[in-house]
Amino acid sequence: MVVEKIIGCFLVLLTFSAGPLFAQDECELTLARAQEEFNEGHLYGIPGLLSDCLEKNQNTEWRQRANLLLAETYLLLEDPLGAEQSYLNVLRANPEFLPDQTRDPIDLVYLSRKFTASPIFSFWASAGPNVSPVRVIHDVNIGGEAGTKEKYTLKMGYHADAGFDYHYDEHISASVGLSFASTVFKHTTTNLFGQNKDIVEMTERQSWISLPLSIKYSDNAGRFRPYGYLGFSVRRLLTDNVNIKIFNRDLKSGDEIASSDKQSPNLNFKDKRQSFNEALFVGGGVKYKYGLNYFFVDLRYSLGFKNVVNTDHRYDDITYRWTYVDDDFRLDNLSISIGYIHPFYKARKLKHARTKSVLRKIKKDDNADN
Amino acid sequence: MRITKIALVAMVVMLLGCDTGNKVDPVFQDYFIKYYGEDGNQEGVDIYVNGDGSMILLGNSSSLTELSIPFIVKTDSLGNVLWQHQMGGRNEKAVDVELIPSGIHQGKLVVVSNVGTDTESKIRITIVDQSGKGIDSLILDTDKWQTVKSVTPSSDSDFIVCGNAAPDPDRNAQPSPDDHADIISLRVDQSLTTVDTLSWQGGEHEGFAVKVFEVPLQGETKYALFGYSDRKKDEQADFEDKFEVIVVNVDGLPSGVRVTTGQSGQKQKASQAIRVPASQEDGFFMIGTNEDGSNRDIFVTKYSKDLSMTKLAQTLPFGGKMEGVAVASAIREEGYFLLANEIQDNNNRNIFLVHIRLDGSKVWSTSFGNEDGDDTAGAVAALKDGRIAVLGTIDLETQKKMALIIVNKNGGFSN
Repeated sequence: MVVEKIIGCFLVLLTFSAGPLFAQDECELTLARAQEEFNEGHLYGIPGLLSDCLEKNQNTEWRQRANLLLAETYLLLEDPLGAEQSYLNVLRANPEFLPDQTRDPIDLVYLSRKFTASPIFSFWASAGPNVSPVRVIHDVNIGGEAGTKEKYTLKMGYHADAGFDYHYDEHISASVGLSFASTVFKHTTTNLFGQNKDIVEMTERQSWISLPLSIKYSDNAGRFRPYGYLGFSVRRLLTDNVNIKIFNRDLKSGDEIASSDKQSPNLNFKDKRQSFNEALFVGGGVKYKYGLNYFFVDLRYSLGFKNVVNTDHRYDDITYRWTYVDDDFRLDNLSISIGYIHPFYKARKLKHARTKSVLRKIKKDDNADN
Repeated sequence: MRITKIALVAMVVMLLGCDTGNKVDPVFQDYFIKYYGEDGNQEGVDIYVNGDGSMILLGNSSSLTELSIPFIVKTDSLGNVLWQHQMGGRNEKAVDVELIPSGIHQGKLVVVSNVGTDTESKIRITIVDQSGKGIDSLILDTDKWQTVKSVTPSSDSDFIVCGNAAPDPDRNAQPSPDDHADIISLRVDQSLTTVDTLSWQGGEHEGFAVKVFEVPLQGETKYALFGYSDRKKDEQADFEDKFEVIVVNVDGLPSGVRVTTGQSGQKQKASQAIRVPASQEDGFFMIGTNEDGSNRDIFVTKYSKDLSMTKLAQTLPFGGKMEGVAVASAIREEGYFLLANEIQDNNNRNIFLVHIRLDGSKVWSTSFGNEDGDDTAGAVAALKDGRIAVLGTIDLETQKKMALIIVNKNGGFSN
């Protein structure tokens, strides 16, 4: 009894799963018959022959072939509207379809030049590490001695971005995005209050949200497509936390140094920073075509425009405890990203058909025949 | 092409808006906080501003190896160290630095300090040139303790030091046996070879001369000792600390002029007196602390040029507990800059700076320091360009450092 039930279920499953395959085979046969009809010049029956399968078959590759056959049929039947509609359906099935000038009829090539499926918009997202070089505008010292030294050290942060590209044409696009970045750098003061004496280390962790706008130039052929861009971003500081370590080194006896060290808790520096900043950025990378989408690797350098420091708050409670004062500085950013692009292909008729080259070819062929 | 052009123009406009060294005003050069020191802790006690804008910062240093030793710094007008070093000896505390305007040491600096502990304290007077080189010094010989508060170069190029000393029973019959100190003023000749007693005041349990000024009175030069004492105002009065000015003749004998100000039932202890320029109504100004139980407030008195009149002579309540420390006459503004220690609830102090008008009303006030540290006031100076220089001690997380704070005419750090 149980075995019978299992076999029954298996048969039911087999029936449902095999249904589309049977339909596919049936449509393949139909398309093959339509192709034979086309080859024999029996054109008028082809649309009717294919209509059922076109309504129910979702296989994009089959739909491309069927619509292409239809487009060629309508061209021969001198039904331009039908041909155009069929060709649009070809592009909907395969946005990157291009007729082969050496194999396909010239009138189909000519028709194809009136259409495009290139994306108007693309969505992209990326993430990766970054470092933030500091460019000092004015060096400000907390100690009065000339021997006091200061330096900035790069520390690694990270970022995540997402946005849209608007494709002006196949090469040029405008990009707008939203970026979150965590940046880190370290400032070290040495020789404070004497040669080889006190050391003060300040590590600053900032988080920014920014709106990058850029103009991009991309190669549009091949599996690897290099690109470059130039842009401008407005960024807002979200958080700013600082940790300060003091190494208070005093001479104990002879040459022996006694060090009394202290580490601050997380200090909020947001009031000591300008909330908004701007940057000019330049970058480039390589897109790798994967199906209809892309993966990319990107390298970007952002030049901070404005003094990051809020000079009205340069001296405050922190100055009175932690032996630290801000320089005036701009904050740059060097980032590497790995990302993904999803183009939104849109099949459409061009306002200005690109048919000149085809016409030239037709004339050339005519001249050759004559 | 059009997009490229727009992008290029936008880029140029943006680049022109970039903050550069020329575009960002170096405000920090005019208004700043800078710390000075070496190993250990350094406190700031006095400042002298030279005519060229350079500054002499006087303080004391203590470290793992030194108990206390005077520490002197010369900076340029931006607060950058030109030279700095220790001076004097161990267990010594400097209190005052002044420019020597005439005599064999003209243009040099005179520093006074207290050498030794309270019961063995002696006064040292040191001459230093403007390059920091020690020229000469003298510890004033005495059998009993003496402490100094300030030095005044006199018109005949001698040095008048003042402070207090162990009480002399011969001059203090009345307050004995609870006599703690006598007010003294000593004259040291410019070559540091002879020391004379200019004035030795008795009749008080305690007192301190904070400054001596030469004053032309009754057709001759006399010396006015500014300070405080608990000397009885009259037979009916109690022994109670009051601001006091005593004028003595060149030979040290009393001139008969004695001005006492203060509020009955409270103590007024002076800490600094200055000569007021003609632009601020001439005369003298003394600052100190009014003690009323556990309350502390700034107490001030303005004296006329001939000491015949007093003005203000009042407590200036600015909220909280205040110890008046130093004063400077404003140069570009009306009034005075008062410097005080603002005592917090946790008994730590902050540095309090207030600008008052000639009538004593407040223009503005500001504080420097953190409530977690014991930050103390040292001295204040009005700069010719309207800025204000404050010298004090900031209690940093791991050490105390001498701090020079330069603020704008409103007490801030921006233009």
